Amino acid sequence: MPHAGSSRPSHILLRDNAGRWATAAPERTVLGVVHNVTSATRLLELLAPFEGDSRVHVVFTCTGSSAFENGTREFMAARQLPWISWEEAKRKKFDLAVSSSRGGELHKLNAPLVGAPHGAGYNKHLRREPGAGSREPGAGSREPGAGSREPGAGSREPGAGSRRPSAWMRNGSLMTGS
Amino acid sequence: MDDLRAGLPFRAEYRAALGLTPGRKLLVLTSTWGPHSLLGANMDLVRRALAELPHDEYRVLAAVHPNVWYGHGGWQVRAWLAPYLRAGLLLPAPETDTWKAALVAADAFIGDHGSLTLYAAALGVPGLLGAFGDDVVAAGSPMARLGAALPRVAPDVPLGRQLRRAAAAQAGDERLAAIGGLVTSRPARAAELLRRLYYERLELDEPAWPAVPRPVALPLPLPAERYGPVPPPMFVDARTEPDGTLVLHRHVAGLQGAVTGHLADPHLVVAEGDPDGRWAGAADVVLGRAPGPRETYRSAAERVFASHGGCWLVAFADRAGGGAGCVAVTRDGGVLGGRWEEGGAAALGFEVAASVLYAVAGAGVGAELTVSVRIGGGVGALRVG
Repeated sequence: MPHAGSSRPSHILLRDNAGRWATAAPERTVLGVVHNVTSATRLLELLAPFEGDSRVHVVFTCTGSSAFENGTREFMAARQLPWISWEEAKRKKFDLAVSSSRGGELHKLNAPLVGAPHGAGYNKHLRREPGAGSREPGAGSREPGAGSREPGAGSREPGAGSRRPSAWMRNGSLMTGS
Repeated sequence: MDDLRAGLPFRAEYRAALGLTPGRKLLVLTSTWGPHSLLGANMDLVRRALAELPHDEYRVLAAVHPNVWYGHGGWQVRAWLAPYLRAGLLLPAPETDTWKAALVAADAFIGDHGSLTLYAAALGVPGLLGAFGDDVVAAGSPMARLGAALPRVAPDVPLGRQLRRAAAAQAGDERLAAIGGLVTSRPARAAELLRRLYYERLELDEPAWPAVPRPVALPLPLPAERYGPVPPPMFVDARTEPDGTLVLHRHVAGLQGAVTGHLADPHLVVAEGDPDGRWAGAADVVLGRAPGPRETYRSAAERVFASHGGCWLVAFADRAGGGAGCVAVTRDGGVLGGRWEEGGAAALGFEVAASVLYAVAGAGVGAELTVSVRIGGGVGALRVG
């Protein structure tokens, strides 16, 4: 698959000639989306259903959108998460993406997206101040007015501008939309 | 939540993995991040928990949000909490899931508007709120309801009393149970539903094995803290129960503040050589250094009395028999010996023996006697003569 830039895929299974380098030959590729250590710990729990299934492999990326990014690289390195850059993640097509936070440009991913909160559901308002944290104003996917996430608000699709189907877990229920 | 609940039948295993001895209670302090969090708004509660709860009855564990840890740096968080770590605070690194085992093992919690507070309540653990971000919590959310249902920590009542009241009031509380039920609308089915969703999207058949909740993994032992050689000065409250058992409560003296209701009539136990000059004059009991080669217990005690104006009893570890025993010299010249009877009671140790001797010496000892002692979950019998 052609892609912009000079770098070839950094993960052997994302290369066109993966069969030459890979030991296993998984049938599906899942992208685990990390925001910070908090969401990463939750993400690894969300990926537990794939344990034992060598048909599926997971690669990880980090959105670079969190104000709390310190320690994330170390966390990913300590757990030996196979990691690709966010730029590369946006270029590639995945069979599924899983995210435990809504920050960052999730709508730019080319994959069906499944998301879940990283705590006990959505209980807090998030005040988005211009220039606050590391998220540039306007860089996110959020529509105007999406600044406060109220529990019970109907469909809150981070990828509302995207055509790909996505689903979010809320209070144990699946919220699916496209 | 499913994995936490699946762990509940194995509470004893989590308690053991966290190093809790039988009879020891676990208080979990849960803090989210930000200025309204427990650490952000009320860090003094960590001190209060370690000061006001009996040292031998409770272990206190702080489950801190990773955004606190990585926002300020783990070193900084540990540095801020260093006096409490020295007093026994457990502080697992938040990238581990030790907090899950702690919630399952907990006897009580003090929390804020973070998710761990909601999980703790959903597990049926009684608790209090030490802080709460009323302004950041969405009205009508499960967290808002929990904020309305849980009592807030009172600034002027000993925490032990508040926790006992909460445990009594919250047992069988249907309102709290209903709030806990809001954490998931599909109890025990998250693994199954999540896997089905994933595999539908992947257009793959699900694996043949069932997707079921997995009880939280047992935590690895927490990294050992390093302590200095000086035991912390302790206020020790000793009272005799109707059956004659002497019950001791110890409280770390250096952490005490304005609330004093938990200290009925304590004596102060200080180690000889403690560099903090506040204690030398106030100590009732001094844990003496072993007498030198040319000293007797009496002459070594005279040296201690001279430099500790309020001291009434100097206790020395009894060098014979493994060091669990105690020899004490009182200011009026009396000499007492105490030796723990066989059967695991040696674990109560020399420092506790010193306080027992102070209590019985104050009551006036004639002949030999054996004192039944209880401290935290530990029991022993000290033969005094």
